[in-house]
Order: sequence, then C-alpha cells, then structure tokens
Amino acid sequence: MDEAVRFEGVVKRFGETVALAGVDLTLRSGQMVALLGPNGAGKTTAVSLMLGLRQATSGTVRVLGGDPGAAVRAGRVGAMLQTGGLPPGLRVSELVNFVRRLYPRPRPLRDLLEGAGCAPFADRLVERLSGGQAQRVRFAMAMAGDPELLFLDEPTTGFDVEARRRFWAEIRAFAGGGRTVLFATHYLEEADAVADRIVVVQRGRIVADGTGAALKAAAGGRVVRFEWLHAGDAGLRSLEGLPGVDTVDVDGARVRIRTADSDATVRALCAAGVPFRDMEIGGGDLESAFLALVGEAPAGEAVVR
Amino acid sequence: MSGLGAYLVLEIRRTVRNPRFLLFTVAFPLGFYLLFTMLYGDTSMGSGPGAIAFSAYYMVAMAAYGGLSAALNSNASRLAAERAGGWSRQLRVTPLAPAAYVLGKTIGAVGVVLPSIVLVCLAGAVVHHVSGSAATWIALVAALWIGSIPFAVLGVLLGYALDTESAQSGGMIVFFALSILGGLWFPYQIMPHWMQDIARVLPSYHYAALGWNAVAHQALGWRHIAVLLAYTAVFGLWAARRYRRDEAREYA
Repeated sequence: MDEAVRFEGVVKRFGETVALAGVDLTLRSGQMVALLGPNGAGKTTAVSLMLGLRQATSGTVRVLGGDPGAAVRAGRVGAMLQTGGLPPGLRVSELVNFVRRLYPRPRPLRDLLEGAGCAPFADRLVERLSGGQAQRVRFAMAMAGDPELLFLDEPTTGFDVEARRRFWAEIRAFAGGGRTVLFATHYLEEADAVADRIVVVQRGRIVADGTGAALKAAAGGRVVRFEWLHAGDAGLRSLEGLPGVDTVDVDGARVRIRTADSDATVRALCAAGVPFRDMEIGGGDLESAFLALVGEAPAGEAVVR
Repeated sequence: MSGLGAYLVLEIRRTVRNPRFLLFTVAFPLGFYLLFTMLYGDTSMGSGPGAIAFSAYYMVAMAAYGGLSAALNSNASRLAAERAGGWSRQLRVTPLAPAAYVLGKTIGAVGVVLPSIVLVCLAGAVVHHVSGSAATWIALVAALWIGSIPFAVLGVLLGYALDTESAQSGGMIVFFALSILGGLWFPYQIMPHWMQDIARVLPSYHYAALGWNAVAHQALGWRHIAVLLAYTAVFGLWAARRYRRDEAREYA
C-alpha cells in the first residue's frame, strides 16, 4: 500500500519550547487515523507540518510521496483547520464554489453542499451562520478538491454530543471509502468510535499507536469492581498479590481492580473468601487506557531540551 | 497564476456587497458633489486657459475622492482582518498561489473604483451640464481609474503593515488626510500656501490634478504622472517587503 504521510525523526521547536520531540509516523493510504492527545500535546503542530504551513526544525516530512507544500499546491490535500475564518459578504454556495474552482478535479457543487450538510443554508451569508453550520462549510471546503488525503483538526469543537455523533456519521459517509483521513481530537470516544487507528501524542511524542481495542488491551485488560463489606480490613492489601492483578484502587468501600486475567482474579477472590457485593466485570475503557498511557510519558523531559 | 481569476471575482463580489463600502465610496462622493455644487453655485475656478467651472472642478474632486476611497478602503482593514482571522491560512491549504491572493486584492480594488467615478461624472453631466467631447470624458475616466493604482497598492501595504485594529483606524486616518490635504474636499485654490505645499507632495492632489487637466482640455501633465508612478513604486516595494516578511512567518 502507498504511504500518505511519513514523519522521520521530526522535531519542531518554538524557541525554548519543543512542540514535537522526535516523531516517527507512517500513515498508509485509505486509513482513518485519529491523532489523540490533550491540548498542547503537539497535534496541531503535526498537522501544520503535514500541510506545509510550518517547517520542521529537523527531520523529514513527506506527504503523498513528496514535499507537503507541493501536495497542497497540486490540490491533492484537503484540510479543515481549527480557526478557518470565513470571509464575510459571501453566500455559502459562492464560497464553496470558489474553493472548488481552485482545484484541478473538483467535486460537483451540489454534491459538496449535500454531502457536508450545507444544502439547507446554501444561500445564507457566511457571517450569519451558527458555529456548527460554519464547521460544515469548512468541511465542504476541505472536500472541494476531492482530496486523496484529508486533514480534520478538531472538527467537532463546539458541538454537543448529539451533533458530534451526527457530524461524524456524515464525515464517514462523505469522506470515507478509500480516502486517507487524519483527524486530531482530544475526545477519546470520538477516536475510538471513528478511527481505524489511534495515534496517542503526549508532550510532543507518540506514546501509543494502534486500534482502540489494542490500546485498551495494552493499557491493562479488564476491570473488576465490587464493594468490600468490611472496609478497612487489612486483607485489602493482599488483593495485589492475586493472579492477574495489575493495580488495586480503593475508594471508601469501593474497590477497583485492573487485571490482565479477570477469570483468574475472580476465582481467586472467591477462593480467598473475600466478602464482596455488587461485583461487575468490564472491559477497561479507553479513557483509563488513555490516562494510563499519557501518565507514562516522562514529564519534563520532552518539553525542554 | 493559479486561481487569480476566481479570486478576483470573489473579491469584487464581497466588496460591492458591503454596505459600508457603498455608503463611503458611492453615496458620499455623489451626495457631497450635489450638496456642495448647490451651496457654492457656479463660480469659476482659476483663470486663463486652465479655468474651469466649479461644477466641473468639484466633479473631478469628488470622483477622485470616490476613487481614492474605493481603492484604499477595500483592502486595508480587510486584509489585516483576514491575516488575523485565519482566512488567509485557510487559503494556504488550497492550490491558490499566495501571490494570486495579493494580486487579486490589488486588481479587485482598482476594479471597484470605476462605479464611483462614473456616477459622479454622470451627475456632473446630467445635473450641472458639464460638457466635453467623448475624448475628454474618456480621458477623464481613464485617468482617474488608472490613477487609482497607487492607492490600491497603499491599501495592500496598510493591510500587511498593520494589525486588525490599527488597520481600521490607520486606514481611515490615511484616507482622510489624503482626501482633505490633497484638495479633494476643499479646493486647492482656496487653501493657504502652507497647505498647498503639503498638497503638492501628496499623491491624492496629483491624482485629482490629472482629472482637472482633462476637463480643462489640457495635457494630463507628466509631472503628475511621474509623482503617481513614484508613489506606486514606493508603496509597491514597501508592500512587497511586508508581504515577504508575512510569507516567511509561519502560519500558526
């Protein structure tokens, strides 16, 4: 398969601050990839480098086999930026049509307006749009040239949960299907629900890379929760020694055990006669996986060199 | 250049839809012309072969004022706002050439100059019967149209040199200074000498002077053309420097 993006040892510094501290990353064509990380992790910087808006301090950035700027000028890339101010005095359809005309192989206008959900307000002036509508216009502009590679930088910022879900369904339907899509987000459930692959960035480094399921597994299997009937019992300490157990968290009477093998752990709990009540066994959620991964990143070291 | 035509159409469309633009550059010059010619009646400006009626003199002054306003104001604050607001960044992730953006803005500003010039000239011809041969009218409109180029370039310069807030006020200050001190509001002839000295170094005076010469059936005057060319060169080089600095800046 072809490579859509390749980062080799990419470092980006802003004065004393290190935004990217040596990133190696290859995106294959056709993947839908989430760049997940907290604010300030380096997601937007990475996207800016892929779009040729910024230059790496050192290392190599290749997009669609060449220079990022060349890919943009050739109209092979589309992008929805975080702060893409829309110029007042234009109707939605005029703006989208203008952007279309800049590309060598544009999608039909009607297709863009309908696919991005802009059709109901296509005749409205852009300064009269709501935040969500403006975001859809940005999506239509990003898709205008029928790009091989699509960047979406926090596309659902400012959406409520329901609108976010609906917008993602539209993005998948319209932009999916063989196209490479890279989106930056700090919403875990968004990355888990939408992406084929999640690249977790923290302090300018990639700290995890894989499918949502793989990340959850990597961050420690399952979680066993129950209520300890004799809270404060000294026996609590001994839980850490049970088979499969990684960590034990106690909050009052509530106990939360992260385990690599929930079956073995529960059998051992019963055998030991632990007085539990209301036991639940669940998959580790991505959020705890994410926190475990992000917590692993060595603090300080990556920020200043 | 990739996308220049499409961008030019977009710019002109945005400008003519802007109510502020229509008020300042089309309604004001026309309104002022009708008002002041009514107040002052038909006195003669100057003497000898270059003498013209006030209605013709002020027609040129207000056409020049409209031309200056259109050329200068359509870019200064808008360009600064687009640099700050992310639209120029959005354009950077399309195949539009950055130079096409600047060129589209400059040519677009010159393009929207024409309506104000033509409207004021029409008012002069219809209301005050300012007469002239077809060649005179063509020379007048062409001189004021082409002569607006340095102000369009100045608008681009201000848009690159200033930030959003200072571009708005800075653009207005430059605009009013050029209009008033250049003799577009109050006739050059009634200015005190020190103000005439100031006017003669401003491009706006030389711009209007092309038109005054045209309606007086005189040669446009090489001196005026030379001054406007020099200003265009200075503004253009300065704007190019600011533009290159802006290009080198990384787009956050």
